[in-house]
Amino acid sequence: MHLIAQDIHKRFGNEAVLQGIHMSIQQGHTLSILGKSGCGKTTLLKILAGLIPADSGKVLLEDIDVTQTAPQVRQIVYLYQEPLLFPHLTVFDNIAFGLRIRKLPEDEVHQQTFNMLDALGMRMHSDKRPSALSGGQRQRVAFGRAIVIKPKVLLLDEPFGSLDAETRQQMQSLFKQLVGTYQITSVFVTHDIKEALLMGDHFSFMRNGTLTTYGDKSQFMQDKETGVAQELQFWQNIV
Amino acid sequence: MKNKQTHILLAVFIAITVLPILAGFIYAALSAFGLAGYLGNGFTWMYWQQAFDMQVLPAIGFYSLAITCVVLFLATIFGMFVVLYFKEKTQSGVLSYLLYLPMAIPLIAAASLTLHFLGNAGLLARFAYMLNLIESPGDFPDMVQDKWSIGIVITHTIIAAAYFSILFSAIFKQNAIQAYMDAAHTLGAGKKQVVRKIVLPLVLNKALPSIILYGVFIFGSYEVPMLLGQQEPQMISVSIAQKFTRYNLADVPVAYALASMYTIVVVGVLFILYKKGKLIHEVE
Repeated sequence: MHLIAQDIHKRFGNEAVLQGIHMSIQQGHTLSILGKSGCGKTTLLKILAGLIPADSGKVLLEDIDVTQTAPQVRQIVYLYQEPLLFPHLTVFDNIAFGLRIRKLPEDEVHQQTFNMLDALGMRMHSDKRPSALSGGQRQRVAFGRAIVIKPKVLLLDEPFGSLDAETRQQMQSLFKQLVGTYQITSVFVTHDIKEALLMGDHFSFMRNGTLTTYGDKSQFMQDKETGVAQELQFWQNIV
Repeated sequence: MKNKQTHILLAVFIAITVLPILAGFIYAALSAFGLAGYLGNGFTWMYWQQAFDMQVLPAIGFYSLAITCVVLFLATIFGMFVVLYFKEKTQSGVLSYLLYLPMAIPLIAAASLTLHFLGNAGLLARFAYMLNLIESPGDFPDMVQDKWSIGIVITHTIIAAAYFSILFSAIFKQNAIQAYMDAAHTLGAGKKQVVRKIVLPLVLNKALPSIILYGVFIFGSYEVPMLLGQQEPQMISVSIAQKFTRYNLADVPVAYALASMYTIVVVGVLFILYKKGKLIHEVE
């Protein structure tokens, strides 16, 4: 397994946010985690990224224990709902950020950044500031900035939550295309049933700090807790 | 109708705020040119030349600017450290209240406290004497009315650092700087790189207008350098005030010349700030 979480516990004060989370993902696969707001999804992703410590439990990346490893050396990139492009940098500089941090030669930085801009269809916007871009374009750049450094795992925390339906659909397609091209291992967190089904190769459901992982898509759909069956019933009744 | 009301209110506002200051500035400039006041005997450059010939203006100008820059630099470092180290604690709890405390102390009181604490006969000197670190309180190193202006810098820095801590903390919260820091960390940036490449540009860009305005305030400060500064050189406000209160009436137009120049410099800075403010707005 590429990424493994073992018995992760986390409390904030008296509230137990995560209660013994177990999960694993294979290289190049996407795990969809469906869950309502406040169920602990973001806390889990931040622990996997190393941004907050777990109270107990382990995170293994390529069979190496990275539980105590600093976020900047984990090579696990965390993408928020907001693109969080650095506002003082241009689109080009935002995408080149991680490459320059790694002290790559500048000609290589230029080549890789322009390749990514081409893949995103954003080359003509390379000199613009993030404030001059639309919401969808910003999210594209955020993807590019994360993927260009070839992370070992990409964590996506409801990345399309703030986009309109059409842009959201475009971004879902772009995401599928990029993870396929670059063989990215990812955890995709969402509260949208359709999005969870579209994005994932494997499926989990999170509720009150516990995570249920399913053997395949049909098991995920049949579990009443996930709400997929109710959603299907709703559309069948309408038709 | 509403438009007319707005114009009337604007006219009243200008009449109350801008006109008296403008009238004062015009009177000061005319006096400095010998066209008004007790010594208004016709147009002359004499008073302006006196200000320059004595090298008063360059000396006090550079001295005031140097003090301002040192205080702003130290306070910015301190404010940034407090916000980065204590983070949420600067937004709620005891620390958030403590940060307001230095700003609640009047400048003249802050200057007297520094005088009583750091002066040759002050608390620190007596404490050092009690511990036999010095032979007499008079041996304590000069930290007030000294050539390096340590007392002025310390007093202003303490108050400015508290203000900058509150300012930076508010910017941190309002602009979700922590989220940008987290994003930069997961992209591979270490702590120092995050501070240098993300926090400083983001926070200072937002804080720059307030920092410059605070600089204008320090540049023209009076009470602190009056109590804690040496005789020569003096900070600009102290120098102007002394010329106004001397028995020699010929110093008054020189003081007006200095005050006019000081006003022009401050208005120039505010104009640049206004332009910079527009630029920041465009970037956002």
